[in-house]
Amino acid sequence: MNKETTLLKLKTGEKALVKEILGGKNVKEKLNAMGIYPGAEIKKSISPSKGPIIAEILRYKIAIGRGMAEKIIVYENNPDGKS
Amino acid sequence: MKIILTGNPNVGKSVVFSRLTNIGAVSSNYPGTTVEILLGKAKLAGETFDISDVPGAYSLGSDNEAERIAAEVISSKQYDLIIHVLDATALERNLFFSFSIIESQKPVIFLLNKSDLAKNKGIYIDPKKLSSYLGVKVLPIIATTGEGFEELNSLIKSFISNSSDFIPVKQFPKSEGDKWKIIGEISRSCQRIEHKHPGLAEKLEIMTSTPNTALPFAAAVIISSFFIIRFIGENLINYVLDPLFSQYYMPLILKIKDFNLNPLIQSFLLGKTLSPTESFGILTTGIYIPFVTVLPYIFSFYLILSLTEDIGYLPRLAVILDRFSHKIGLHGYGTIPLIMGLGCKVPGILSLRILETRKEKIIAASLLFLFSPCMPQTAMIFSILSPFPIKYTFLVFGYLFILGMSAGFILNKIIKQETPELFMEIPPYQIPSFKMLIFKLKIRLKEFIKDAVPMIIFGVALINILDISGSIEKITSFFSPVFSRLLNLPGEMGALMAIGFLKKDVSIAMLAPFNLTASQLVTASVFLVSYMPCAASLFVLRKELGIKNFFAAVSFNFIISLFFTWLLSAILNF
Repeated sequence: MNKETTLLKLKTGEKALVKEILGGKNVKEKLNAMGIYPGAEIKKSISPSKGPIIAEILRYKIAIGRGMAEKIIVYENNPDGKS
Repeated sequence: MKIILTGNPNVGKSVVFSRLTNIGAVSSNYPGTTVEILLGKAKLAGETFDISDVPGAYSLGSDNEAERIAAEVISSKQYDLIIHVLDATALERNLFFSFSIIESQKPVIFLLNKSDLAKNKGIYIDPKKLSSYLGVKVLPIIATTGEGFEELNSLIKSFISNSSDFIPVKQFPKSEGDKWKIIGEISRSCQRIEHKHPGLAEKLEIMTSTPNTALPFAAAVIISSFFIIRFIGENLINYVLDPLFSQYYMPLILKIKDFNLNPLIQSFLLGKTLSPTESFGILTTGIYIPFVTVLPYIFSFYLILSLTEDIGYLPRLAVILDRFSHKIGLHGYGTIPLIMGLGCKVPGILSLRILETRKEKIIAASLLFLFSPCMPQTAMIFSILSPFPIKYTFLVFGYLFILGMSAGFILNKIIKQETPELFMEIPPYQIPSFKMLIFKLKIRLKEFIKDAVPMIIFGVALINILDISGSIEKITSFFSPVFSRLLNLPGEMGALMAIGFLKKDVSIAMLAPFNLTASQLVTASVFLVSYMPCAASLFVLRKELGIKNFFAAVSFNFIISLFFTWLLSAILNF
């Protein structure tokens, strides 16, 4: 089951694989340098109802604005079957 | 020979720099403390090196000033050795930038920093394996304790005798996807990770980042900081510095009277009256203001700021304030220059470089001047309002806050540019090291004594000379209409404005001899804080913003300040 969703909508505590990043070259490069690229594993740490979300990638945490989090398309369930 | 220090933000470059050069470089637990190149000299393996601490970057594709500076330095190739610092707790992300360093084909040493923190988190990295994968020398260190620096010294010794050994030999793929593939491979074979149960830090993390608990927590932190700063400052003044001044220093200084000097010289040195807050003699007021009134607050403010910085609370605060700060055209990160500016404007202005757009820079600069009075000003406001009920002190800061918010709101409407979204690394919470805290406090106090104290004494001397020569009256009559009619303040305020331009805290101190009412003091304080930044910060601001934006920001600032001060005086005298 590889349902697509956005990082913004992903539930707190869930892990997902990045499918693609919508947006321009600049945004993609910026995210890429921080380890967010198609195929990367990302975990949603904190998802408030308003304001930036906090995600965990490669064992460090990052705060991401809501609009940007909406542009990060992820597979809801980790295809490796790990939780 | 020249060495440059590179790495991601917040990996500990500044701590390495301080250790190598013995120059104090302020380091904090958040990305972007170093925004300009710091230069120093270090004696390593018997030779003297020029060392540059380059601002941290995640990549060479620059999207802010600090990263652009880093990219420029690295691609200039005007150096002999790169010391590249990596954070062992987030190896993979650090490796991505490391490839750009390896591609520069210059001699390089990798320092794997924070290996102690990594172990606490259950992360074990094999430096030998990492070194053979990357084709560069890798040395594990703990910069805060100095572990590994002797080995660094011997590595540098072999660099001096044979530098070609240090040029990276391996080629890495150019495509970014392939880079991440290799990073995955390296991480699997060089790194072992044990799962650890979430500890206290993780619980604190959740509490300080989930809005329901984070907002009350932030409010509690800010309010208690205010009271602690005031408590420490006041007690240092009342029980330590004021008694020292009046019981030991003054009697000594008053012996000058025995010399029967020329009365002009004597009033220049000691002032006209005996009160150290009203006399304006350079040996009385000139010493009392910087050392008795201001220094204790500088000390207590920087103590609290350094502590919150080192624990790592500031980035969390930036995240919480993000939603709110978008209303005034900033994103959460824009609050960091404002907090820095509460100490001194100059580091606040320099940290504007972490912001990306022109709009954010202008708004943050204006807010920096309008609503974050620097610590010497704050200390003077506390001091001149201390005979009155505390509500007046709150009124000054509360009104400045409203003033700043309104200005930000207006600027956000005027400047048509989208504010970029928050995208910021959140470093892990850390237990601050007492030694590092003292070290940092020492650097900041030294800076204040070296840069600000002479200016304060100069400001006091200038007022004294203007007063003795009678020029104050001329300036006064020139400005008088504005002040007496518009703001309900004595005309002499014009002279204060001129002085305030040089040294703001001195201009507020000068309110003391006028016998103003509490409301007048409040109005005058608000005006003197906000009408224009001091000369030193104006100078730095011009360099940072460029001449056009600079004039726009400063004139907007002046108009807003005048309007809001008028409004306040109208309300208070209603």
